[in-house]
Order: sequence, then structure tokens, then C-alpha cells
Amino acid sequence: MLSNLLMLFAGALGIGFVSAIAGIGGGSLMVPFMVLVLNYDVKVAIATSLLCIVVTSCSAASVYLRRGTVDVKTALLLEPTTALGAIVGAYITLTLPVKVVKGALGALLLYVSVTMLRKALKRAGRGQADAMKVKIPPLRKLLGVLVSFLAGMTSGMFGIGGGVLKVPLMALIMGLPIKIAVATSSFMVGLTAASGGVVYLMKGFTDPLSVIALAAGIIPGATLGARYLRRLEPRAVRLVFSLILLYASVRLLYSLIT
Amino acid sequence: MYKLPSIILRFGVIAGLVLSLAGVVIEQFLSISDIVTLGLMTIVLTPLVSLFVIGILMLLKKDIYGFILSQLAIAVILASIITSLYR
Repeated sequence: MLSNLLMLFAGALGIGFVSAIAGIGGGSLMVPFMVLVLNYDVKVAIATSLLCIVVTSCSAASVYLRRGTVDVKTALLLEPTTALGAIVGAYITLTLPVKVVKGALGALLLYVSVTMLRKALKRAGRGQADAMKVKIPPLRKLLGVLVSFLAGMTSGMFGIGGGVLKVPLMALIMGLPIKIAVATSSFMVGLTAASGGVVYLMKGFTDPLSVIALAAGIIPGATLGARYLRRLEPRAVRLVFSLILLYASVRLLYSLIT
Repeated sequence: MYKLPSIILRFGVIAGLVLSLAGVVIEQFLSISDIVTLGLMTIVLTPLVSLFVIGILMLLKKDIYGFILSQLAIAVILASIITSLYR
């Protein structure tokens, strides 16, 4: 029991650091870590992961909010449907076979990671400045709202924050600069994870001790990661993010055949 | 502009974690699990409180559209809590 908690704490330190840099809640790393390494029940891992994601993204988002790098308007536009999606996703997980949803997520992450990796390896185009004022066309806004429902659903279903979809959504579809997209995603991820997490919490799937162990490691890790983001180039952030996605997708797909 | 929501985010989750930890210790000795639940609920509700404050700040700036969107997100999450209680 104690060794499990210590391993959770150590793993959380590393997960917190990379998740803050990539603008994800860390669930895509946390859930496989808890299930495959520490033999947690999948539903308990998802529930615990969601609560930890709230802690991670709140820590990172507090830094981004103070710094003014969060595009609050875009976050508010996307969040109602994302939260709704997270709640629907949580209820779906409680009914669907885990293998089906795992396979779908693995394939989706693989596609997104390859897309992001290709973009990261290209030369940085013009218009990559971190300007806050970005004019988003109405059609793209509508598309963003629809896709954010799916991002929320994925979050609720798999115990991830949904940042893996929100950052590409805001960067690729809505045209936000990657640093702004990462900061805005961090802010949104907390709300999305809270929406899905509350369903699992009310159903009694959350393990409080694991939440504390994970959060104790994630907070210093995420704070350090958020500070490093400021010094990094958008291309580097994109590259790190896509590699993390690639890793998560391989792990998910691999778990289906083993 | 968003200094207060930023402070709420940072200290809200820390307060939730401290409450949960205290609750786990108390549960061992007194078999009272309510404090753990309260701690976990504090973590879950922290982003909502922060969002509510952002909504109020937007209202003060006469940004009605932003205020409505923030309240819509809060309403969806609160509806989920109520639904989970009765389903």
C-alpha cells in the first residue's frame, strides 16, 4: 500500500512536469501508469485521474491566468459543450466495454499526434506570434464548439483532461498561437475534468489517498513545467506534445493486444 | 484582471487536498468519511468558483456575452452534480 503510494508520488512528479509543458492534464499518462504499473481498477484509475487533473490544471492555470496568457473568451465559448460532453462521457464509460473505447481513443491519439508532429517538423510559418487578439471566423467557432463536445466526452470516458484534443482544436482549427492554446487548454481542462470527475465521485469510484499522493507529486512538477513553457519555442512545445501523444496512443493500442 | 480567480484556483485545490488528507486521518480514528468527501468536493468545485468570479468580473466590465457563457458552463456542471445524486 505504502510502496504503491510512493510510486504514485514519484510517477506524478514526472507526469506533472510534462503535462504542464504540453498543456494536458496528464490523464493520458496517469491512467495507463495506474492500471498497467500499479494494477488499479480501470474505473478507479479514471476517477482518481480526473480529480488529479483538476489539481494539475488549476495549478498551471493559476500561473497562466495571472500572466494573462489564457484566451478567456475562447475558453468560455467552448466550455459549456465540453462540460456537457464530459458528463455524457462519464456515463458512457459506466456502460460500454472498456476495450472498445480504449481502441477508439488510441486510434484518435495516433492521428492527432502524427498531425501535430508533421506540423512541428515543418518550418515555423508566419503569424506564430503570441498575440492575444486572434480573429476567429464564425464557422470555425461553430466547428470548435462541436469538436469540444467530443473533447469533453473523451475526457469523461477515459479520465483524461481533454487537452490532447483541445490544444490541436484551438491551434489547428481555430488558429490560436500554440502557447495561448496550451494556456487556454490548461484553464479549460480543470473545468472539464471537474465535470466528469463529479460523476465518478458521486458514484464512489474515487480513491482519496491516491488523489493526495498523485497531487502531491503533480503540483511541484506542473509548477516547474509551467515556468519552463515561457522559455520554450512554440515548435519545441508542439514537438514535445506530439511525442507525448504518440507514446500514449502506442500504449493504448498495445494494451488491446496484450 | 484575473488575479482573484488565479488565487482561488491555486489555494482552492490546496485547501481541498489538505481537507482530504485530514479527512483520511480522521476516518481512521473516528470512522467519519464526510470530511474526505468535503475535501474532494472542494477540489471539484474550485474551478467552478473561479469561473463564477471570472463571470462576475466580465459582468463588471459589461461583457454580458462572456458572463452568460460562464454561467452556462456552471449550470451544466451543477446539473450534472444533481443528476448524479439521483441516478
